[in-house]
Amino acid sequence: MAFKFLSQEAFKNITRNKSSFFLSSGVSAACLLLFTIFLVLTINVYRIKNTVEDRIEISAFLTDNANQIELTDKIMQLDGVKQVQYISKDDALKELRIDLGENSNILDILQRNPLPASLRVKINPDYKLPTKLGELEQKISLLKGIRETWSGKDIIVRLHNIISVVAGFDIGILFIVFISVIFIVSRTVEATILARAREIEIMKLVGATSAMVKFPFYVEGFFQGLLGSIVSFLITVIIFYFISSFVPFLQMPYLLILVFNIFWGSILGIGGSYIALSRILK
Amino acid sequence: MINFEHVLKVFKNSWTALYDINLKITSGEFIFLVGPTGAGKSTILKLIYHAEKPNSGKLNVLDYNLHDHIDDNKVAELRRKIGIVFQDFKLLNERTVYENIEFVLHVTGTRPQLIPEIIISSLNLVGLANRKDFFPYQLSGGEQQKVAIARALAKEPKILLADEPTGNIDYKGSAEILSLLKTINYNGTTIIMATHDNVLAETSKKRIVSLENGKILSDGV
Ligand SMILES: Nc1ncnc2c1ncn2[C@@H]1O[C@H](COP(=O)(O)OP(=O)(O)O)[C@@H](O)[C@H]1O
Ligand SMILES: [Mg+2]
Repeated sequence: MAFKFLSQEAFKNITRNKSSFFLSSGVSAACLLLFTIFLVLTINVYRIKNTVEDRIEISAFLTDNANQIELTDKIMQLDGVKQVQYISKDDALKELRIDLGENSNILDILQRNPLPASLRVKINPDYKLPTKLGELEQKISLLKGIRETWSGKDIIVRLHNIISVVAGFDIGILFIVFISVIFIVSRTVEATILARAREIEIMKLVGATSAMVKFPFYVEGFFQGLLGSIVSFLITVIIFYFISSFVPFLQMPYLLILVFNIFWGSILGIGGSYIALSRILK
Repeated sequence: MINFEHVLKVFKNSWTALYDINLKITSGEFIFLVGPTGAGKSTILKLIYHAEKPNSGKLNVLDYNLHDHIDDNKVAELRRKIGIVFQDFKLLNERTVYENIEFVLHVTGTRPQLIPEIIISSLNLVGLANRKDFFPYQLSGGEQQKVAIARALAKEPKILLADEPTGNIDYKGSAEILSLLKTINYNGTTIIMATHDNVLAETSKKRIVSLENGKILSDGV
């Protein structure tokens, strides 16, 4: 097949109507950018959730006369418990000093150590879902000698909620982006097909296969989507560059975002051409 | 090479353009299709290059059965063996003579390294090699039609269909086109030329198929 010649024809079509080509690429870029931003957001919320989940443990604070060895044994026998660590009153104070850093001298005014001893319960990963974690915390809090428990379960519930909302947004936006990119590209390619009616007529008369007739239009749609995706990626990088100084923990998986943009940009561009061709050429 | 047997062509608006056409054309012939406007000449040519399908009867062109269903790639293959020229030339105005022929050769899958030579030799055949860098609007009607013929010949077709090729051209130009077609026929290409110009056909001493209202009135030299 005459790939080279037909690609040159496609570039002639593009240069002949540069403004629609760039308009269409620009709209595709805006759509892909919108989705990319949400994708980066989702990835980061997900990452935060995972980090929080990794650190999840139940702190069980002991009454003053509790027998920590007996309690450790009992807790170890509960399902989902990986490890139990005893933190004495002194240990707790030491940790607090480390946490406070240079402000730790405010502790010097204390007459006696107000912190309770506690058992730090590490949990198996599959017990970190909000419901299971809640049940386990409940069981521990009912043991004799436990004054109070704390697990950060509420934070996890909140993160799970945020993730499902954001994921819902992602799907919705992806849908809008799909429709918009395909629509704008197909409109632009349709205009080219109409402008090339004479060439198409001659191609058909002289016996060009339909693949040959369609190829330049697929090339055109592909490049619209590709250019859109590259612009979207570059803008994402620039935005991230500015935001990252304010929000240092934000992470940006460059390669994933690049691959994602190029993949969807080109697929949607080709899809737009496909729709244009099936609407105009029988 | 081409065989119509009891071919009927009815258009979608239920207009019958051809009734019971029986026509056998053998390799190397030169045939005129004559008749007034609306007689069905163009329709016969369209059936041959499968721009239209017969409603009934049998039609064979170069061993393709055009009365059965035939897929698009087969149609394209058939058309690559047929050259077609029209009254309005169908040249691309923003391309030079050379590029017009080049376009057709590329899209029909000709090996790129052969293309320049083919273009020059087909332009030589019609005597317009010196016009290769002209645009169609810089040429006379007769010259434009010769370019269209050169473009059709570039693919070395077995059959050349010409639909009113002299319709837009003055008397002198018409005579030149006709003598060019005769030369091409002499070199072995089958030629079917539709024209409403009876005189032009009769002075040529070739087979004439005369049509009126979709029926063949006479067929002979
Ligand atoms: N696509 C079409 N739809 C309906 N009628 C058509 C169509 N093409 C041709 N016809 C009719 O068929 C008849 C034959 O047309 P045509 O073959 O073009 O005649 P000619 O070439 O001899 O002038 C005419 O009456 C014309 O109006
Ligand atoms: Mg006609």
